[in-house]
Amino acid sequence: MISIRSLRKRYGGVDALSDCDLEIAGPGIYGLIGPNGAGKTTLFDVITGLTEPDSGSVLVEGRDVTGLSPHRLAKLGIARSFQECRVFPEFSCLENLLFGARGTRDEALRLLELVNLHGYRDEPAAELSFGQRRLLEIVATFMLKPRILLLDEPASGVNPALLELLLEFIRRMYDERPCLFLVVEHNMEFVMALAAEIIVMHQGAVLERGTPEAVQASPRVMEAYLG
Amino acid sequence: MPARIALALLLAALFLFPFIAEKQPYLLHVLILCCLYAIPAVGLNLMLGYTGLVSLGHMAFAGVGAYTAAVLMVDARLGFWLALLAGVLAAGAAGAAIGAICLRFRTHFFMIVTLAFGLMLYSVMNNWDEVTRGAAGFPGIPRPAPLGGFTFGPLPNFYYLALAAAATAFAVQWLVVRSEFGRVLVALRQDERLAQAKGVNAMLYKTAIFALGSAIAGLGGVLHVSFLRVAAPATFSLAESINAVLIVIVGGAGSLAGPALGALVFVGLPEYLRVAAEWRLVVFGILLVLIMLFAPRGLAGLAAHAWARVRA
Repeated sequence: MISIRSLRKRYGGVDALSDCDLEIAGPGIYGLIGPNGAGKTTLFDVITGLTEPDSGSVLVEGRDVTGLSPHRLAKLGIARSFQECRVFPEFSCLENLLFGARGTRDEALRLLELVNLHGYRDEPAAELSFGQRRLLEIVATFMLKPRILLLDEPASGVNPALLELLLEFIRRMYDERPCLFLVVEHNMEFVMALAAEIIVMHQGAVLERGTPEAVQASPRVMEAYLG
Repeated sequence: MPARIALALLLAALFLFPFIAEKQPYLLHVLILCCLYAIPAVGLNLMLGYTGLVSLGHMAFAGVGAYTAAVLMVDARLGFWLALLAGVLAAGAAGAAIGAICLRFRTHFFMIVTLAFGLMLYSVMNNWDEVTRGAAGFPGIPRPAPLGGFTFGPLPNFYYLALAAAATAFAVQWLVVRSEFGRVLVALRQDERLAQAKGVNAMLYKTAIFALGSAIAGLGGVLHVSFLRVAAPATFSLAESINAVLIVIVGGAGSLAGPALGALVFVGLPEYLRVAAEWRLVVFGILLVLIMLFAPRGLAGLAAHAWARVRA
């Protein structure tokens, strides 16, 4: 479904991506973990066209999409959320969901209900707490009906009560419409509970991949995290 | 509904104004200038207020429209209405071409590039003597040709033309803001990256609004030089572009009525304060500071706040 081939991206003297290869064949929820600076967000930025790689390629279902602009990649069904949580602050929650959406208003209302934001549907997103904004951002990505969904630290800044809701919501969305979910996350408990397979990045390349149990037991992963 | 009634009353008052102020042609003159400044401000409001594009060369596009029409009317003997259309189209085309370059830059870099293009266009108007008549100005620009027996020579008649043109610009603004296109512009102002991630071709939308804003400025430019009967480069200088930005911000960037309120304050007030001679600019400056301090959303925001309190 998605092939990353020898991607390189250098910022100043730092290799954010260093001959990164990654092959994900089909639908599923994949966790993407790694220490800070491992290249996870840069990989997302390259896949979604926000950053142009120095070399290498990104193939989606066999088609080379390297260097396409973000809006064209979005039209191809690649959606994402952002590490720093991005919503349109002046738009209401409902308007946020409907912007660029492929789903209907009724679907948007149902999704808002699933994450307990139904009561805020007409409120500007700026009025929400950070955790609620994060939920709104993630819910909005599902309204794009993506083929590939990249979630960048969805649990970051979300309190434990909302975290459980978020976990259930993502699982439910996957059950309803299975596609490829790639989730960058530092909250290990969250990502291990969510993903069927974990991919570990270190120093700009894939270090390890496997089931959550196998990855947690890997000495190479331990070393990468603990140094 | 109350807003519609207020709008109808305002339009009625503006329509009847020449009859009320029959013996005060100066007041009518000032009101015409308010309309002529409000028109380019509407174009800039769409760019700055709704899309977040702060252009510091906006009035240069009014100049492109004005000089295009002037050359066509005086040198090529084209009728006013066709020259007006050509001026608007030329300003829009210049906006699209120059916008496509400027919009590759963001934030303050964008502002500096628009400023640079504004200065370049001003230089052309000021120095290309064979075509623009240079710094001395382009004289002999005619008033609009009569329409159905209605001439535009007398001041009250030109007032109705300026009012109709301003109303058209505001109607275009209203239509844009209400449309899906306008919604995308507002999204781009809030978060361009997010809008792109949702499938918006940011460059296309921003170039389109840059072109439309410039075309509206062109409309104002043509009418301005037709009213004054002369096109002078100073009318389209950097100072005038900064004035246009101030009109939008003081009036209320991103509000439908903002350009009208801004133009009234910016053009009307200094004229009204002429009695205070040398103090007028000081008084005006203090007023601007006070507006920025106590009404960051401009006069339109202040009016909306007051209206909400009355309703409560």
